[in-house]
Amino acid sequence: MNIELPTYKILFLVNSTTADTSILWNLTYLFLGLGFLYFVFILFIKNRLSRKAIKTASKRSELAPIISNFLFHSVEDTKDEQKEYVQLKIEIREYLRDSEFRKILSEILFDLQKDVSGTTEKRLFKLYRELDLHHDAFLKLKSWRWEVVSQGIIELTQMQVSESYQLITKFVNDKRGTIRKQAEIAAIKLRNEGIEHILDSTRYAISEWQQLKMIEALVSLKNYKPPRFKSWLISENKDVVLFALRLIKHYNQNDAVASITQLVKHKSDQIRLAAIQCIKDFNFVEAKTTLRSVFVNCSDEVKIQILGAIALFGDESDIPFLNGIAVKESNFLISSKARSAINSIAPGTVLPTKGITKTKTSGIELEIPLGKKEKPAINPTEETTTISITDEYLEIATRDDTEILEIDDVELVVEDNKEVEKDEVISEETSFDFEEMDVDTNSSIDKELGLLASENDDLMDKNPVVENIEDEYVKMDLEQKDAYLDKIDENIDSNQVELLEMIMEREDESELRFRAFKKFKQLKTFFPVKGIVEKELEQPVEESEAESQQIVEESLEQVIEQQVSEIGEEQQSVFYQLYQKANDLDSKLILIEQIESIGDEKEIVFLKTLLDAQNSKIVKHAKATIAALEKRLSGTSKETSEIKSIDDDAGVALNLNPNELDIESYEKIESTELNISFEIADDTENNEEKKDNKLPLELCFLYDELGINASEEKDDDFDFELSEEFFLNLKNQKERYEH
Amino acid sequence: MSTSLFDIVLEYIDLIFLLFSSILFCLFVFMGYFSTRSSIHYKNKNSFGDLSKVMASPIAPSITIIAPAYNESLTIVENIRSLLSLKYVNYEVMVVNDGSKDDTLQKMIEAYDLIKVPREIDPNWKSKPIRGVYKSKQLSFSKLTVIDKENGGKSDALNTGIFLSENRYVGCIDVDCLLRPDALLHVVKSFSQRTKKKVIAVGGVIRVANSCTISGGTLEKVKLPKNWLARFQLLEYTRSFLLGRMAWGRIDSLLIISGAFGFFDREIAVAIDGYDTGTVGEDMEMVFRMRRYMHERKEPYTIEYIPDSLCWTEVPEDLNILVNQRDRWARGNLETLYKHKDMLFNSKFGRLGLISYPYWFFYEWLAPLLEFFGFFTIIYFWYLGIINWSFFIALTAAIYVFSITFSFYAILWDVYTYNEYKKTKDILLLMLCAIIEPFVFHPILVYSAVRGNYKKLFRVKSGWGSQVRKGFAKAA
Amino acid sequence: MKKRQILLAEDDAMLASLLNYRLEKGGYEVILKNDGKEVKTWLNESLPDIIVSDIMMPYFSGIELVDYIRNELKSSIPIILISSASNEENVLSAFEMGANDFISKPVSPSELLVRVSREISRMN
Repeated sequence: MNIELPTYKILFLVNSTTADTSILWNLTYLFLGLGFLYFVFILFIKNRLSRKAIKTASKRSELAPIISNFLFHSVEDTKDEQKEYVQLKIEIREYLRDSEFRKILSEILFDLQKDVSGTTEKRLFKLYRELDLHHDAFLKLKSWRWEVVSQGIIELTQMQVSESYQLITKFVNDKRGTIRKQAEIAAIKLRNEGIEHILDSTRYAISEWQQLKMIEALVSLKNYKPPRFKSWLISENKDVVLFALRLIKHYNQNDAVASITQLVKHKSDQIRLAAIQCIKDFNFVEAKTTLRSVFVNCSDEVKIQILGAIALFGDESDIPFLNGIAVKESNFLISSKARSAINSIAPGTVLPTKGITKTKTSGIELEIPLGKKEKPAINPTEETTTISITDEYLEIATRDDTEILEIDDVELVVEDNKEVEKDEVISEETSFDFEEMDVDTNSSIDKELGLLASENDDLMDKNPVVENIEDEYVKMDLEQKDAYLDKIDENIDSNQVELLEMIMEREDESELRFRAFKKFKQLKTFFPVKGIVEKELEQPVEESEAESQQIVEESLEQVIEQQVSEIGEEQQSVFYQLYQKANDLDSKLILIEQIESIGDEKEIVFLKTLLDAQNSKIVKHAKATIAALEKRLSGTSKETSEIKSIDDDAGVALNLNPNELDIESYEKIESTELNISFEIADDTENNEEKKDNKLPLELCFLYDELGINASEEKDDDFDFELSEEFFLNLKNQKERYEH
Repeated sequence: MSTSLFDIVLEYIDLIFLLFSSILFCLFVFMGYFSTRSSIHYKNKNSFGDLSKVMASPIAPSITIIAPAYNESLTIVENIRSLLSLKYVNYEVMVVNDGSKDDTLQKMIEAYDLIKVPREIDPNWKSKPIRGVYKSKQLSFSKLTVIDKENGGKSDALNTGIFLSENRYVGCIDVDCLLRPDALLHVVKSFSQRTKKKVIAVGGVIRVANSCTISGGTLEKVKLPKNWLARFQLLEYTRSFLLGRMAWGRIDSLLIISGAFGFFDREIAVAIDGYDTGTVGEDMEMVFRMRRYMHERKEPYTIEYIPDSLCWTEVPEDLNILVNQRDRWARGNLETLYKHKDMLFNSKFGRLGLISYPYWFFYEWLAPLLEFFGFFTIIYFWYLGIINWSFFIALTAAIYVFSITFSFYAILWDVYTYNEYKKTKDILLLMLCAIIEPFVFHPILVYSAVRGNYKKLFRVKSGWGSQVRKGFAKAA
Repeated sequence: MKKRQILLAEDDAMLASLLNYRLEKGGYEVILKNDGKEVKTWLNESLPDIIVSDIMMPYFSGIELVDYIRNELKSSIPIILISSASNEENVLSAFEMGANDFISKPVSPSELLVRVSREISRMN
């Protein structure tokens, strides 16, 4: 709304001799006055704001030592300190009569509360009461202004004044929205049964945002045991039902099949969606018939969710139903969902026919390589080889309620294909046709790197070559060096390790030195595994591998040393850190499961601390894991060798050695890339390349979720996700043989 | 005879202008009132409640941020980094490379380790063909999706993002604008805190980032622009966003959401087929159609407006670029109003047809034209010697002072609510801007608007359109 | 025995004073600095035994500080960072730069004390 005024209205004066000019002048004066008034206001407010800021700052620095003294006072203090403490107490009583002072003091305490935890926080709560500051907050509750009441509620909640609970819950059905919302959160935070009170008594709608906030408040409670939320599924308040569904999902309470199934028929789409989500999460196969029967009358969004659920636990009998949808449905998204559901139930039913652009659905695409058993290498262009892995990335990144469905699809497909995949991969290994491979990329890189001598020569007589490279490197200018470091990324072998060390020692340019260091760090995690596995095939390399492994281990020792915690035994566990970072129940449970396969004594200590956790599921899992772990650890030595042999046989080494995992995890916490542990070592390759060989730890867990748990695959089979590496390795292998 | 006809015409002109200005007068007063109420309410309501905690909740609604990029190779990597570091758990950044002629795509692939991923495309795809969908191999960038497509303009790029996104909300932003870390939390809150009405879109304030200190993709220190043209625009934005849109939001008649920071319910956006690729005023046109759609379905809905300073962008400091930008806005305005002409005074559309549309028609589109016309008439009348000078001066003074007062009021609110410019000197400079603006900055805007309209109405081809940076904000 | 010297860099005056008090009570000599600039000037004069710094600070962030100490001053004195819950990425890059430990807000002063003494004992 620009001010278009000043010029164009000028026109209407043109002939208006009748209009009274004095009115206009009066208006002008009025606005002039107003303008001046605003001018003064602006300066006044500006001034007041900065004055206030200065004043609070000075008060803060004045009060800070006093508050610190109060907070850390203890009976063991020296006599002088005791004296000082008492003195301060008397002094502050004087000040407290001033309401302005109380206000500032409360503000400081509120701010401080956000920054401290542990015993200090508890003392802070105590101090707040001892200074009688909560009386002010109670007074605020009686105000007629909603913002004041809300403020009071917040203050009481923040300082955990639990006796205010009764007073505050009266506001749960207040007609002023903001008060209501604050009261709900306060009720939850003040007492563990607060949530039940709200669900029982609220008459108002609860917005989605508010539900999120309330769940957040519940999560922050310590030692909280959630009630069975299914009892609120029969509530008359639509939002309570919805909220109860969300809570059921959040706390994994899978004991309400019948009620939830019934809610699929609810007239509200939101409730339907939430109900289907629960059905999917808890795998309520019983609900399938209901889902199918309501399908026709649903909105598109619900239809997609239903198809997702059927894809998850459907069987052959659902195929005609899905086929019907795939053919009849006009909405592309829905029909394609139906097709992918069919494929996940019975893989290979729907094959690509028409309308397929250069990119295809996961389910369909996977069929192509499987179909051509005789030609396993399938022309390793980027496109084909990356499919399996990239698909995963896609799913992970866009995961939300709808997308869980996608992941589930993949899971089913994978499981069904595993059998085929296994045979195939093995046959690939033996009867591989090297002539088909494309060698251009690697050899050209080599050329540039001055690796014109064939690789076999390198292996026999590596030192001259290393020297050669080093000479080459020294001659390069900055830009070339930079480009060269990039290439090391793609083209890693032990020579580079030495070179990197050389760079780290001698390079003057700090940027490059740092980069080399980073690369080196990446290599460190990569070589130990390779070292073990490669013994079998590559005798000449063995030595250098072992060497580099040693170097790596030496440098890692420092890291371990730094990281071994002295704070608490449970915190020594790698999983302690990870567990703290995990923010939802699922990932925590997955973490615990992971411990079972790779943990050691430290993890047991950590797990024991979990036995006091508020969530029964966690406790259960932790118990089971401890038992399993103890059992496993009793036979550790045997186990380790076993694992090793498995690794050698399979060519897939999941890093199972607990110590090594520790190192790696610690290492990773330091480095920005959270790539860990899922090393794929292949018995054929030397020139192992590219970072994507290392799958991030998170991904590892996700794989776990998807049922592609590599740690369980001790029976020689290749994980199909590994096919990309496999092809790339073959490429390298071929190259070597050609030389 | 000819004189009498002339007199009658004059009388009519007189009457129309009197009516026009009186209504405008009242409108501005109301606007001030509504925005004041609205700001106070907002400030009270949001003074408490810690937003940051909700970000971790796994059931938080999902958002896709769509950032179209065209020949941005210099800044794209940094811009994406800043977008990836927002505080929210469930979001995706979708950068749509709109067939850039430079190495924008290559830069992204290198910096973020991208690889092509398979993606099934709807056979009835409406936008320009997609060349590829890319994701990062590194988990730390898993929120990033890059779409490479053939060139089709900003609207087409945004549509591609809207159709490909699978999240509940989509946000359309300019890739070069800077979002405050908690921007998405505010947006999600606005979308999901209503219980009675469906929120179909959320818009926000655009702040001027010229001369501010920006480091590592975050705004470190807010400073007043050094360039005068940017200062005028800053004042204009303050008035428009803090008073104008706040007032329109208050009476739920917001008609425009900036292209630089607009969020939509994806379901509705898809239902109306996204942006119209045939207009240069796509952001305004889309809101018109969304509102129309909801009106026709008779569902209770609203559009939310967030007055917090969440989005910062650079405004043009070059006169030519500014004129071109405003020219384009004027054309977009005209196109949109023409396309939806049946809404004018149509009670079927409620306040939309009775207040918002007429306002846009008369005071956003027509006003600059009248001004232009008036200016030359004055000169002509002066030549004829029929001007009543004392009246002319009195009226000009009244209106001039009124405009300053209004600007001051906007500054006052800015200081009272957000106080972004800490130095008193900056505020004084802004007030100086308000005083000289009507003589310097305003004529530029009028000229641009007239030029835009002339071009559109007489179908003059604007060949240089592609040279200009895509517009980032509609300040009007 | 001479008291160990801690350089505490924290811009929030209240929290700074609180931590200062606790650390002093724990038997350390604390030098309190409110922003990155002050820290830098101080470090050019003399090096403390250990540094505790907030990650988000005006003028000179914790990460820049770590970078400065490790790469410019070439010193390996222990550095503990205090981070807000929301900037995990910063923490990771700080570790990469060579920070020794971090503690996230809300801070438990006693925990900080334990971590400080651990870093110091490791140094010996």
